[in-house]
Amino acid sequence: MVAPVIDKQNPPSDWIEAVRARFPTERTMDEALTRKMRARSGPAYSPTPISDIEQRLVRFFSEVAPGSRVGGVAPLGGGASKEQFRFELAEPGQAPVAYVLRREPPESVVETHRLREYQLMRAMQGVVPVPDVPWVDADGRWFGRPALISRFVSGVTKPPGGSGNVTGLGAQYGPELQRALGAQFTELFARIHTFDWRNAELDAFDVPEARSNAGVQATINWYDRVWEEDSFEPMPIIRFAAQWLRANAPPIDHVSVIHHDYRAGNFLFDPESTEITAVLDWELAHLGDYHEDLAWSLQEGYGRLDDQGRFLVCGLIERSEFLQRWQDHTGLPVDPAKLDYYAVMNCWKSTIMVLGTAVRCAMGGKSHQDILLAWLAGFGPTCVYSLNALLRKAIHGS
Amino acid sequence: MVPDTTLRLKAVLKALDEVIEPVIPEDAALAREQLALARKSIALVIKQIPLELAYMIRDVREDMALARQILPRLGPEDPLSVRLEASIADAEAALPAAPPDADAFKATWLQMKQALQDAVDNLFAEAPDELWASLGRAVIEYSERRNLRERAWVAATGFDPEPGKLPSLREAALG
Repeated sequence: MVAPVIDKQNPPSDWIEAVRARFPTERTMDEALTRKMRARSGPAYSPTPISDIEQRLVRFFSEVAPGSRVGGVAPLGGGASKEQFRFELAEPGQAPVAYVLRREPPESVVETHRLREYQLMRAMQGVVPVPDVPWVDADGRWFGRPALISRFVSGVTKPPGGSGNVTGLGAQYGPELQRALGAQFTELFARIHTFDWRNAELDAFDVPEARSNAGVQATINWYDRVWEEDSFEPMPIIRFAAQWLRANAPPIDHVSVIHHDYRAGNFLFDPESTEITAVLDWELAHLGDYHEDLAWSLQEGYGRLDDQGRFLVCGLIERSEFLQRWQDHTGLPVDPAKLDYYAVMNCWKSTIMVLGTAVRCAMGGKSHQDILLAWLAGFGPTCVYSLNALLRKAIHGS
Repeated sequence: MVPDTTLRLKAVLKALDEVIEPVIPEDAALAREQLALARKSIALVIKQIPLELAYMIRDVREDMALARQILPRLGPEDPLSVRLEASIADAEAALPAAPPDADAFKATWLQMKQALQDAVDNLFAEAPDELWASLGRAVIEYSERRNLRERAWVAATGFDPEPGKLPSLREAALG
């Protein structure tokens, strides 16, 4: 008997509920993913006129900052995941200040929750440099779709005139920048992982139980659910990897804030002073095992080999030095077996994002970056190549 | 092989419509005309791609029918007769039994993969060590063979770290 084919572009509500029940995950992630599925059969993305964005900003600020003036609204480059607009806000009696409106398209390469991003960025103020985020529209009441507003921070994501692309993959830093940025990059990472999140306002996040692997299972369910909801072409290796991850999930010994996309391209620096001015893209952050974050930054795709054949993490710092410095800053141990486990998990997640969600998004014409997402899917087979090799090593030893 | 060719082209069309067209000055007549032609060409190709092979097969069948009618009128020693007969024989050998229906085949292709994915998912849920060691190896080897084709298929996107070690597009598709 052939199972009925689900039209994922127009998913029936009983199927949406069955998938939710099959893959239990964090509350607010369930909320974001369910919202995505319920809206999937809705209209495709169409560009919003700048005048409309401006009107929405004016209405919003007449409520939250009466007497203020909005001006200079313009689209901002970058942002493979969310639409971004720069604008200036002059509050009564004050000079204009530049802000960034970051708004969800109908669907994007990663479905996330604005309240999580907002809460975490606020929690990290003073811990690492992050843009100030004074406002969030978590349910899209003001901006038509969920959005948050952060202070504009100056800086660049890649060396002026250097190579690399919109995703930050392949960024090349010269030796001076490597020295200057590599050390800061590592220290800031350590600060994220040793941050005492227990006293922060992070009620949008579920707290994983320490010394248990329940939080790891919830993360596996999150991405396995995304694969179920978004994939067009089924791939046995994705479900094979998911079952291996479930069977081998280690306990979380130390619960940390996990940035989940800490790499070149996701921080700003001042090219003159070489100081990192902001850590960006917190949308995938969650609470979990710091090995997940370390393994993410260590991925080959984000780094490169230097002239002597040594692997530079994110093109910035040699691998062993990176891990040693991180341990010196945190006082936390690095377990190589856990790094290996999370290397498999991260490769699996990346594959799901580029071969599942990015493709589905382009199929529905749901984002402002469909052509980029279709192009990014070309990174998928490289992820699968690594996933095959990592699983082979983990299961068969070679 | 996601995204497929037509989806890639639809994304190009969308970028032309939503990003490129609005910034071309009203008085840039040539650029606007070329853009309109580019959009129409892509829209046409999106419809043609799934049917292109079937179209050629149908076409060659008609060619063969006419060739068979012409043959008796040519002398057996006529070089054109020899050429025509050889062409009919080659076409007979190359023709599939029925013109491929790309959409129908795609449904079968997806159904096969879904059944395979579900079976792997089910078998490896709480699987014993023996299964990981035996069938697990087969699943990984299958994925490795498939992945080599996939990497070749999208090598031009520039993400692959070892593009020089990949088969050509033609080798990837035809073996």
